[in-house]
Amino acid sequence: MRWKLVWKNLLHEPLSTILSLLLLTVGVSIITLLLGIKHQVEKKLDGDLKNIDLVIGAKGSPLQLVLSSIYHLDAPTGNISLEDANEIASNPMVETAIPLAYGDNYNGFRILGTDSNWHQLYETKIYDGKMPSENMEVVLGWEVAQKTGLKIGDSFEGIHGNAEKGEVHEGHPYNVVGILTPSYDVADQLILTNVSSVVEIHEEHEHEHDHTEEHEHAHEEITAILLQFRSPMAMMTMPRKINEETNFQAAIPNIEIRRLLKLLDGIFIFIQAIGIIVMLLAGVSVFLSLLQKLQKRKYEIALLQSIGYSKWYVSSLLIYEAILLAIIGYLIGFIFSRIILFLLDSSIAQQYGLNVFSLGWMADEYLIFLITLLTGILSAIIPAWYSVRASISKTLADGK
Amino acid sequence: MNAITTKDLIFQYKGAKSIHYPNISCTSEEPVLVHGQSGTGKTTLLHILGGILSGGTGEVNLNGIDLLKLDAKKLQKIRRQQIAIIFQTPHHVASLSVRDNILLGTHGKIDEKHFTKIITSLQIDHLIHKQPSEISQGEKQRMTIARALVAKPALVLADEPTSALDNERADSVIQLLLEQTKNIGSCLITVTHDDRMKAYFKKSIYLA
Repeated sequence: MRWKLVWKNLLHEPLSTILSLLLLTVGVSIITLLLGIKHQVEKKLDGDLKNIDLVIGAKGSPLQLVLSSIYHLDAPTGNISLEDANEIASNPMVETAIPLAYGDNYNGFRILGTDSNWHQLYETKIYDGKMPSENMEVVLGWEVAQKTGLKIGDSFEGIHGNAEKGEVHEGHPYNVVGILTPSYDVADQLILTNVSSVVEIHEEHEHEHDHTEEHEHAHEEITAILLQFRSPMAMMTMPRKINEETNFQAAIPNIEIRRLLKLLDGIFIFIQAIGIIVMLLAGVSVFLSLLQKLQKRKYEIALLQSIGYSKWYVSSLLIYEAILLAIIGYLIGFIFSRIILFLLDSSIAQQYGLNVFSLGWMADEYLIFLITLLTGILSAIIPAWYSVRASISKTLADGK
Repeated sequence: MNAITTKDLIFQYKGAKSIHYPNISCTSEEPVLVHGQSGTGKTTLLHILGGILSGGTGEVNLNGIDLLKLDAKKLQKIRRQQIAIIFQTPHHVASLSVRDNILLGTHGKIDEKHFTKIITSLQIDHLIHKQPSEISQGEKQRMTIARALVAKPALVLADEPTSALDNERADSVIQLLLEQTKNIGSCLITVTHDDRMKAYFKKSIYLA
């Protein structure tokens, strides 16, 4: 009977219930959404780092270099000579050096020229077909295959640059020889070939332009090189040496990503503070609504006690009502935040070719649930205490 | 047989004159009418007997238990198991249906046969699925009477149970109260200033 009574009481005054629910839902949504975005962005950024110690590329913004070379998000800072890159790669402190060459896309998906080390680093697996072994052969990331509809045996021509529409490299078709299994990282969003295919196309592209314009792709050039060191000691010396003594730029991904997250943190904290304020308002709203209900229900409360229901039973009706409100508010807020995350994810995937957000349960969400529950309980304690403080006899006599 | 007796019962509200009640003895065979003018302490007496007002002195003995000596928890248990009060105002839980309001008194131990008998006798069987806001004041009063009787308590206390009813309905309700309390073996104490009631009770106490 207790839960039935609690439920009926909630439905009996729909307006105040809806107002409290609305505030709880908005508060939970904001906090959950922010937490989800922060959590997933951090996870995504950390996950795609793959223990890469250093990125070497053309001079420019280090963050841009990291974003373009590891996350394939931004435009590259420029090109570097393949010969010089090989020289750096041969340094005894370097354990793995992975060349990256790109400058083209197909339907917005980047075409990346790299070698087997990259596949090892990202632990790619063939779903169908094989890895590229000849020039102009490509293997497609899972999302690329799904969204472009390309199959093994198909050919396509790349478009110069990152934009979906642009100059087509006519007469240089890529041949699809394989499709990768889904990996839920950047590999899903890339078209992968070997370095020489990309270099070859752009050498010819340069000749077609008759050397009249200054082009970012010089002879035997690649975009960047990813390094993993044998020892952490290399991190102390090599970045500085490269930045000071060469025309290249060395960017430490970990530092750049921490810097980016720190910038984002300020925004997250600000929006989260708004969420907390809304939650507090929700708590106050539940409190005021319960006080108002208490006034209206004082005869009911006295009646229940006169029938033999205990003080705890009667006061728990208000507490349970607040708990039920909090649970419903949390659930609606949770679902609402997931819908927004899903929409955001679809929009980011469409715009940047990246699936950032997972819709699963996050560890910190237990905490948000507990905070919501606590907000409900705290807002009900005083009304619950007041509910059984009054004299049953006096209340019922006054209600004549 | 259920029985309630009072002995030397005195009650005093803060700053007011104390009320000395005559000794009362009531059994299921012999219901009692307490009548008197307004302000003579009729409702107060009912609340003391019903275990919702403490602070009186003397003795209120319900089936061998002195209610005045019980702590709040034991008193609550007695109210739950043995006492039903019909208030002058038909208090109810607004969010619950008429049926659920009546069944509040059973604390989950529902005797459907007894329930049907009571609501049929009180002519509210057609109202049980309605909300209290949808029924008249007289129907609400019958709903509260049903709530008291459905629990088969040892003691039924009625405070002006017929005040909201017309002569015909008042007659049937008081007959039903007398009949049903006798059937279920409850003691019935009714307080009123309604002179129509005197005809129904052999034993009456006047409060001056």
